[in-house]
Amino acid sequence: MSARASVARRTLATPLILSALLVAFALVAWFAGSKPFNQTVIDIFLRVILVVGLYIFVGNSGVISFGHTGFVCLGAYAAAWLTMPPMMKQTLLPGLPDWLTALQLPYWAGAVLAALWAALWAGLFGKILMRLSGIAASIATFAMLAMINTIYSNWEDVTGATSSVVGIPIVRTVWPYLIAAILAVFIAWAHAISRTGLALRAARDEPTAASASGIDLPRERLIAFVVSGAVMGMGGALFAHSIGVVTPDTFYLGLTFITLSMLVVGGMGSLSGAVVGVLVLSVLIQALRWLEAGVTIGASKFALPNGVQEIALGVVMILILARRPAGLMGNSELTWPRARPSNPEQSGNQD
Amino acid sequence: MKSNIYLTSTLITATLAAPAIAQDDKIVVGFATAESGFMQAYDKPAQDAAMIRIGEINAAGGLLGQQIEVVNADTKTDRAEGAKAGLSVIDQGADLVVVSCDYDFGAPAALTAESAGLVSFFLCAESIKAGIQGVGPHSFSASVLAAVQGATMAQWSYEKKGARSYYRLLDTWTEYNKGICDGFDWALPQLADATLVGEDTFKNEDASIAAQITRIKSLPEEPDAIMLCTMMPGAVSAIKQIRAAGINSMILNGSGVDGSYWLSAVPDLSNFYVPVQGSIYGDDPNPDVTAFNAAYKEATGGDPRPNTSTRVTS
Repeated sequence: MSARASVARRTLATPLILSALLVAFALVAWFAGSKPFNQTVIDIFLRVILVVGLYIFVGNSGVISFGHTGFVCLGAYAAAWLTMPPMMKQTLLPGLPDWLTALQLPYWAGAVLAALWAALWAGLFGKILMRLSGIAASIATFAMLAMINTIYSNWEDVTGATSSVVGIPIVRTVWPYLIAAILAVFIAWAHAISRTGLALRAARDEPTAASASGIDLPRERLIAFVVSGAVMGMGGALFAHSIGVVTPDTFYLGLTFITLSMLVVGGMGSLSGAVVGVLVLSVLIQALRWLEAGVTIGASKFALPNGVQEIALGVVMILILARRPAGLMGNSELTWPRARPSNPEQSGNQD
Repeated sequence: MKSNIYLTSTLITATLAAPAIAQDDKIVVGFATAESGFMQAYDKPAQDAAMIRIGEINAAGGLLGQQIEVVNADTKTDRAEGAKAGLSVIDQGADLVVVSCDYDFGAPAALTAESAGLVSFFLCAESIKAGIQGVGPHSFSASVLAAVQGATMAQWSYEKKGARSYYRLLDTWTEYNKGICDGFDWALPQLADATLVGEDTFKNEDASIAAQITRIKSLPEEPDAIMLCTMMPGAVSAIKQIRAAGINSMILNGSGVDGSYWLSAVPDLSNFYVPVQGSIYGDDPNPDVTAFNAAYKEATGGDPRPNTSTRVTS
């Protein structure tokens, strides 16, 4: 017990530093006072939630998942079902059960339930998928995503099929998103230093030795899958509240690849990498968009041609991965700059 | 090739009368539309047309003595960016927010305008949701509701072409398609001795509609008109197959097949009717349309493009 507490104390710096970074972003948005910039920061926080959610499973298990966007979709639609005005649900989604149609929760309660809903499905899918390993597991998660997308694109009465579902209350202040992002960071940290998180990373690095030591790999993976599914579900719910519209195609390949690439660029094996990857790439994307829109320097206006943003982003990602194949953070975490000799016990969070 | 761009610019002008009450010396119109991505092809022509009209109004002394100023933000054909674009033009002082053609892509920006109490305007969405139902009481679209098109085609063919027996062929792919047939269904019973001799459905992606064609062919008499509720890209194949099977009935459509870009795929197509809001062939009964076409060509160097965006609307 005391050993656990000391692991927590030793590694607490990481989530604290990451939270401070996120708070700094929120404060910048608050002081800037510009509505579109505020929305940009909200977008960044949403991506932090999604990429951290993805990290909980991918980072700790080493299995690349293409399916986590499915949980975002589950969470977003659950938020729509729970928070839309009953009148709109009656016309847009007539197939919902009566009790659900009549229900209208505040957005935060909707987000909590959406997270649980996504976790439930992560549990059901994971029970089967987590028995697979390597590329088979990755492709199986992709199949899961395709199934979820197909169901949500066609179940007219319940999801509105491919039509946009509107009427979701829009939340435009940055604070709920900040709190959720910090919550996601702490959940990921707590999972990583827990018994199951350690066991999962051990199995990722040395599967044979881990099995020989009595680690039940499918079980540990399932726990990570469910926890990360819940975080993704929460992210999906907040995504729905950030623009007020959900459609199934929002939660498909585009979002899958952007979240995965942010995680890989940041460093797949590190929580700090997940957060830093999002922040660095998001800042880069935003800077390029501003340049595309045009910047006035002195008397002349300088603007990049449209589309340069996507190309430059690709080039930068290649450069980062060429220089640092393990991502910006590699496998290390952000900690207080202390001149402490590297301590083997510290691998609780540094693996 | 026809276009409803003309109507777009007229309606934008009309709507401007409302925010003109603003007490500053100019009226700001915010365009939260796609300047990149696939929606650009749909938004750009309509926006060009609006810019021509705004230029004319300003040259004539402005609206109620106030000059119209335009601010832009790019939605990048992305919903989340659309919400940001909406906020961005509102931040720049927009009194009216013009949003992307398609309901799905325009809605996020329209919703931001609605929550700021501003009027929003879809360039050419034809979904019933592009307005009060899907955004709120301050939202409008420049295009005609799909159901109105279906009803119009039924009435027009009855009165002007003497059609009495109808066949209804619905592509169940989108709400837009269903909307056309819904309007047709509403109008038909109101036309004395017009009868529906049969109906069928297919899917846009169907490679062959041979089964449906067989059922049309096995009718005792060829129907006067086929109400074809479909859109691109499947529409061309369906039309081609119907004609290739030797069915010469009049084919009625929604605006989903507006445009001449696909006609080379069905050579010698005739007896084929589409509801549109203006003609670029110089034969439009409204002289203003012809004048507008000339102005558009001068400003952009091309004919007004067909407003194909509505096909995406579901």
